[in-house]
Amino acid sequence: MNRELTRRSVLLGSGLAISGIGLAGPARAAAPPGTLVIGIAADPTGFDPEAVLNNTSGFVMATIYDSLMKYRPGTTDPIPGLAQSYTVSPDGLTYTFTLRPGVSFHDGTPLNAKTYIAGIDRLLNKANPNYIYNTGPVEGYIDFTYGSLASYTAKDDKTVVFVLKTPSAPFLTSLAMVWNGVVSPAAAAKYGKEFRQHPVGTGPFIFREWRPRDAILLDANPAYWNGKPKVEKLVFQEYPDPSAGLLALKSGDMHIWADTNTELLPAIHADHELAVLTQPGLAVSGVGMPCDTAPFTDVRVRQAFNYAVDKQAIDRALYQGLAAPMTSPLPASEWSFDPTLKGYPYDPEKAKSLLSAAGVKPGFAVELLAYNSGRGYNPVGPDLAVAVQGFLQKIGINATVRKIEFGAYLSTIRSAKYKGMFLVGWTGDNGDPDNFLNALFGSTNIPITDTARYRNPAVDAIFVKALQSNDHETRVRLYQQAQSIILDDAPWIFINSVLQVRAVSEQVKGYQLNPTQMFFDMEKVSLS
Amino acid sequence: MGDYLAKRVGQLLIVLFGVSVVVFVAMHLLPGDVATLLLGDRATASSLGRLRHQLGLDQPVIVQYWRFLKGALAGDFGTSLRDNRPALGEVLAAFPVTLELTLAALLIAVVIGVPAGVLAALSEGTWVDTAITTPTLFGVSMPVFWLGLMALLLFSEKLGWLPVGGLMPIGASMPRITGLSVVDAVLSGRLALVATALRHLVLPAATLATIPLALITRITRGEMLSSLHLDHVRTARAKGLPEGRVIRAHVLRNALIPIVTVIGLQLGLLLSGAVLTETIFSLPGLGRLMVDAILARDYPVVQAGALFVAVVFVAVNFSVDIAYAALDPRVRQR
Repeated sequence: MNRELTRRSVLLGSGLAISGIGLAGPARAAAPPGTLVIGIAADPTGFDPEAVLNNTSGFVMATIYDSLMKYRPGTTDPIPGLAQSYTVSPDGLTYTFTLRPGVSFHDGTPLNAKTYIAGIDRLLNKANPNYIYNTGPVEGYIDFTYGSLASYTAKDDKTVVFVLKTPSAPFLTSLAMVWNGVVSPAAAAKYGKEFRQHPVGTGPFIFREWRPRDAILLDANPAYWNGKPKVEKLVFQEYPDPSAGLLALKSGDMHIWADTNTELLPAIHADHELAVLTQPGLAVSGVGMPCDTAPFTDVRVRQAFNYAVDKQAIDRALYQGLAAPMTSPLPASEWSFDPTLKGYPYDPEKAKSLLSAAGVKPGFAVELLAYNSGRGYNPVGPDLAVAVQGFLQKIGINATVRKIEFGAYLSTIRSAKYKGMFLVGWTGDNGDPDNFLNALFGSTNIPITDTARYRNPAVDAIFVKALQSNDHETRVRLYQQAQSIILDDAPWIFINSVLQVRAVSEQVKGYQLNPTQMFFDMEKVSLS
Repeated sequence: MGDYLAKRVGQLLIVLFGVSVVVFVAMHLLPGDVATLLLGDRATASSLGRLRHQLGLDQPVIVQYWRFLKGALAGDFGTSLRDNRPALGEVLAAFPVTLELTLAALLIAVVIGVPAGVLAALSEGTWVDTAITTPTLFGVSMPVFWLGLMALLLFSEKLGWLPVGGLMPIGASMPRITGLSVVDAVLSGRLALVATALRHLVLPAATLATIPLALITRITRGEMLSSLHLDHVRTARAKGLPEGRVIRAHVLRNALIPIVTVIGLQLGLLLSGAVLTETIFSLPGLGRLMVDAILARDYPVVQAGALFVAVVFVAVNFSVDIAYAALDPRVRQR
């Protein structure tokens, strides 16, 4: 740990040194003209959207594939994508999509109802010769998206009909996910097990080459339905070392840094030719409390712990201000986020009085379990637990931090028996509020994702209603009710929601962050 | 010689078996399983169960090992749990990058280190000696990641002479025949490509060379010094042999055996341990492959990589032994 810290401080030091020397450096223009370069920190694991599940693969796939629905740029609102339009039956069970005409996959296969349904059949039909589960491990979102599906049919050449078993309003949003990108069924059949290395979609960029742990090369798709891309080539180049990544950005080798290292932000800010883009992230992070275990069965104890922690101070000290205190169980990037809720201000006196009212004596000891590495929703990892431990100490609570490896941590908090407190967090999958609120606080998800084992029948009833409603306003209202109740019930110490942060070169025009972090709408990006 | 070879191959098999058992046990003792890591926060009991079954992780450990062993004996190390590619293929694709880097680094280290060590020994106690031995102290104590970054800062950022890492220019496709980029460039017959490949190789190789260079210089100096005072050297001088011949035939040759040992050991170490250099210079080599695989609990790739490195180690040691024989007649007679 100490060695890691030393290395981090050295990195930071070198980053600062880089910024100083950079001013005297030569003119930049390293990447070939017309080539947009996105820097990534890790190697993707493949490009079959339904089979793989990691951000880096998603980054690349968002430029190769389109989905039936897409997100309105910069948001998680679903709008038609490869579907030109859609209708939902009043009972919320039948979804009818009309496909966009004249679209072809990169291998020339036309997109029509038949080829689209063939792609769905690959995911859901065991008897399909190209059944995806026969091509290797599947980590994707098939159950998540199509779990409630009763049937899928091609009504005519351009109409696709899905019938659900139970109403599920997030179905539309799920279809917009990069993980539901539409693949060429001909290519999936042709490449079989190797389709993951030979992706073919309808997106703005055409896959050319993947050199593992090095680069992914793509060419612009001149026939793209949403407009020809403004650059000729797109390269995802790997920079596993953050300081080397910064150098690449400064030298013009890289234009957008997908995995911007926030410790190097001072160096990035010091360079006038670089810009830092931020957006509220689709993530929350906090400390879970076992709601079925005394003394956490008492809501006053859980509220007291919320008042005891100064989230603003934590955001400043640990997150360089690149996080916003949670004022609601939802992140601000969610469309049903309730801006009128104010969360729990820092008030240790109130915390103490609530604790004594609940009969918890000073000196109460509890374990605080932490994963031992940074996560997307909590880049500082276990340091957050240490900070919370310090604040709890001030109200007389002795928390012992125990750090363990992430897999072991997950199995512990999901055992349904763990009696301590624990770091907890979530990154949204499809951008639907159900994917936060119900996943984290719906009792049907105890103990897998509702790890605090929070159970409130009133909240559960709201979730069911909101799933069945197809009226946007109604859903917003229902989820706002749920937010207010959950906030009062305080199953977590609601800490913060990290911002999405990306450094880009000033040359980049027309690039917009998306809360899902994916590189959507890249055909609109140009280089000056 | 035949007996000797058979004995070495027998030893190799025992080493490989031992390595495979140790790696297998160690990987299974590590906390956390690959299915949980792959699925992360959103894993459900059923998705975990299905993925574990697909990956064969629901079998007893001994059955998993038996399956692995059966496959490995037939040359099949299974597929990566991370990206579903043949494990051995991944290792073989990454190895040339590391091999090229290592050979280039060792070349730099030997070509500079041995003469520098000899020179330092011959000038013992003078300013030349100090001028050579002082930097070697820095060389052995400098962290590679810091040195690499500073080299990048100076030569790429400030002077703009060399690229910021990578195997080839951004977006370029270079011919891949052997996987050694300089060799491939030479084979392609295009001079510009050779220059490009060398430009991408020189900084990482020089960075990686610092520690072996310092070690080889110091060992050469030390061995030369102790050989210089041996009886046979005095005899050679007394016979009236020219000093150059005394140094080459009687001192350096004697001193070379430990130097060759160090070079051999360094070669083995660099082949398996260039991970920091590969990371800083964004090179897709074996070190990074192995670290990624270990972090992802990607057993097949870790196994294939560990066994491959073991074979390389044994082969390097074997070559070192052969080199001894060439250098020292006593070894030949044994």
